[in-house]
Amino acid sequence: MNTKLYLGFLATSLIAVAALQGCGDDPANTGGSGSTTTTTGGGGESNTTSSTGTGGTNNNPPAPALGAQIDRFGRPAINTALNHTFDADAAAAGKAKDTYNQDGDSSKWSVNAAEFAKNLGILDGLDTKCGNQLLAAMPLDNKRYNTLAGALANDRIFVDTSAVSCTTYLAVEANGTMLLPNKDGGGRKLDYDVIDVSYTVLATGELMAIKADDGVPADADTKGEIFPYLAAPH
Amino acid sequence: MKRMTWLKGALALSVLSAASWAIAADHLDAPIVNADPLADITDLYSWTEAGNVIFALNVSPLAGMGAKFSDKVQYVIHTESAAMFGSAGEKVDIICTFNAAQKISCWVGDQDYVTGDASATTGLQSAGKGIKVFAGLRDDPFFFNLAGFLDTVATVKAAAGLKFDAANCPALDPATSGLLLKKLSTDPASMPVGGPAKDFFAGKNVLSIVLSIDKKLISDGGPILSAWASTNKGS
Repeated sequence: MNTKLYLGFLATSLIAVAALQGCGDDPANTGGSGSTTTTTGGGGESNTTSSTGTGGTNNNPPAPALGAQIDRFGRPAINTALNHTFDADAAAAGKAKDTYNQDGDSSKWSVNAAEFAKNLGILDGLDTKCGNQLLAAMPLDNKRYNTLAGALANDRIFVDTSAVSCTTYLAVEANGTMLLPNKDGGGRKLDYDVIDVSYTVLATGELMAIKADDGVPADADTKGEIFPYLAAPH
Repeated sequence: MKRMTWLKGALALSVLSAASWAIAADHLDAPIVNADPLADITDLYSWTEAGNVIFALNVSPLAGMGAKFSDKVQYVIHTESAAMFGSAGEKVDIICTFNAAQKISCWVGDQDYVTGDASATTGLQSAGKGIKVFAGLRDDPFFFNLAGFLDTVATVKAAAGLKFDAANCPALDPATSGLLLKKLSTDPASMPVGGPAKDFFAGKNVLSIVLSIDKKLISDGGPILSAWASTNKGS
């Protein structure tokens, strides 16, 4: 997929995510609810018990109960870029980032959207134009970035397991809302250039060409096609 | 406008961290994981391949050649499968733990289980054939011009005077915007200055758990799978 198509695809995907978020503030609307597992509470505690201590149906030993959560990760750069990233008080910002990492209760992740919106506002001005960020709403009031912030607060990646292959970041979100029907598996492969796309979309709002990039393309070490895919250590 | 406020705006030139402790996608992103790098998730990758779902859960940024997984940490991928995007789904946790000798044990819900030495690149396969896992030191596949970003930050530190609107969007003049955007994509250490960017993570390593999971084990709710990773304290 070329760069232009990739960016267009990304833009549509994010719109799709936002559309779902618009149906309600609960991030569970995008796949976080209705599970058959038992939620045992959020905060820094164990989140689900679906595979913990149940013994198993195949004479397998029971999986361990999950301990207190230390870190979490869904999409790249969310906690580092959008969560108190630009605060002057580094100690307070660090504490907030720790809290984010320790929150295992995905039904409450939308609480982070307000903070994300503040950081998205800063990004939007980098091309000298406020209000041209993807999904930035008019008028240019203090709620301008809430839609995208809400979508990003549901910090997880999506893969269509029925797809033959994965080529495009956020493809599943785009297809799921029929805004850009496709059969791509989405997910995140090793060579997806999530930085260039993020720079461009968040800073410049440009959808059809890379306008802000870090000058670093994927290299041969990201092209592994055979298990375990990642290149040998250096 | 105060210089610190201006700095905030410039730091936002990157979607990566501008905070002093953070350097990349999720590498070293917060104080607690800084102190516990074996629990510090750097990236999660996932895609489909030939009836399987591939996951690569990376931890331990800038790992040394002797790095080993912690026997006090649980490495977890939380999955949820649904019939449609946005629908309620079925959750399955994939949990991997290590002992001091780096023997791995992985559970995919209560459907399959594998334990043993997963250090060979051929992978360790479960008796049920639903799991293949590798665990060990690998190249960090994340790529990013960190030096260009830091140069941008340094430039901004010397600047002053910005106004922000009600939504926290800063006003930048074209010359400043162009300069900062260029710095993001070049190498400040090059001669002459402004040469091609360099990937800070080229040649760096991480500890990686690579899993190939039979999609049947994690798609009871349907084909649309969401995933996020966590590290948790082990017993």
